[in-house]
Amino acid sequence: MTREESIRIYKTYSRKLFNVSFRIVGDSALAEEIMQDTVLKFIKLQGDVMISQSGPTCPGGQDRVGAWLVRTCVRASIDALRKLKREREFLEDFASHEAVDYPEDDFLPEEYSVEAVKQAIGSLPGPYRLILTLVLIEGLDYEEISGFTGDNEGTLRTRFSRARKMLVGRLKERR
Amino acid sequence: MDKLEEYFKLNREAFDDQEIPEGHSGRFEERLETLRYAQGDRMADQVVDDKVASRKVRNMKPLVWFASIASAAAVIAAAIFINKAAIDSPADKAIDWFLGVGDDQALICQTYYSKAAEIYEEALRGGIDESTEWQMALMLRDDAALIDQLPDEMSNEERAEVLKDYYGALLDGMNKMK
Repeated sequence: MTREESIRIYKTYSRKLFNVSFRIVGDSALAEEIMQDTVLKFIKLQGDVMISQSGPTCPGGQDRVGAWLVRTCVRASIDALRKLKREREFLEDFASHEAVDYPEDDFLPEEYSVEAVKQAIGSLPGPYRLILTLVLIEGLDYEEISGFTGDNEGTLRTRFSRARKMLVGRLKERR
Repeated sequence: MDKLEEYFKLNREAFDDQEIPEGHSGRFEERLETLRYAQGDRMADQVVDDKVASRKVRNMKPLVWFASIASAAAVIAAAIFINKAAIDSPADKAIDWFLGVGDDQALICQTYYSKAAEIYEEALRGGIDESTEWQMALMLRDDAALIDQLPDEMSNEERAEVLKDYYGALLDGMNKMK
């Protein structure tokens, strides 16, 4: 891959990947490092995924290169998050936060701004923030997330269900 | 898909609003050079001299274009001089090597490498002599890829024109030599 191609790849995907990582690790310097590691890994692999400016596309509208980059970035970000926290702290986050059961029947998400939703997600405990980010924003399925986190799919589904309830609750409280 | 999931699907891009810290492009390019150096890429040996990088290049287009065509012409002239029989070929119709390629610079380079390889292989099958084979191999070497040397100030169309002229001249020469 030429230098120009490498820089073009970086310019195309850097913002997206940075945001993917930042949502998980919450630190801009670390997110930048992980984002650049991801792009350089792709360049080093000489583009095993086909480089094409115009698709083919995968479900979700992302091109194949983008899909590979996002998944690699997610994996690296989760690994980094684990290293930042001690495992015990990581598990304690689950025990200390019980989701209050807010019904969603009358919940209309379109009534809330993206900024409000972002803040609400940001206020959630780490694991719930992470599962919501991966499922709702990155569009990953439970099987993929299981591969990144090591948790079984049943655990992830339960966690997501609780996380959604917490998100709805936080948003309703803001009104 | 429920209302919440649909909301996120519709607004997905709006969540990517966090700005990357200033200077990130420069940091990436430094890491890229380190990677290319580690991979043994000779281009990475070029240290970006701050003075050279900040130098104002005015009206480089004719100079670069001339230099690139002159160097290609010199290579071809040397090859044809050594292979005098190639001169006796009938006047060839000019070949548009990049027909349909447009201004995509990467595609122009890929087209060149692909066609050069075809000509070289055809020449080998045709039983060219060792001297000619050596000359063609020299022409195939692209130690300092032209695409990386063209100044940023040039427009995409100008860069494409220079690349087509340069690589077209090389292909014409190789085609005469085979």
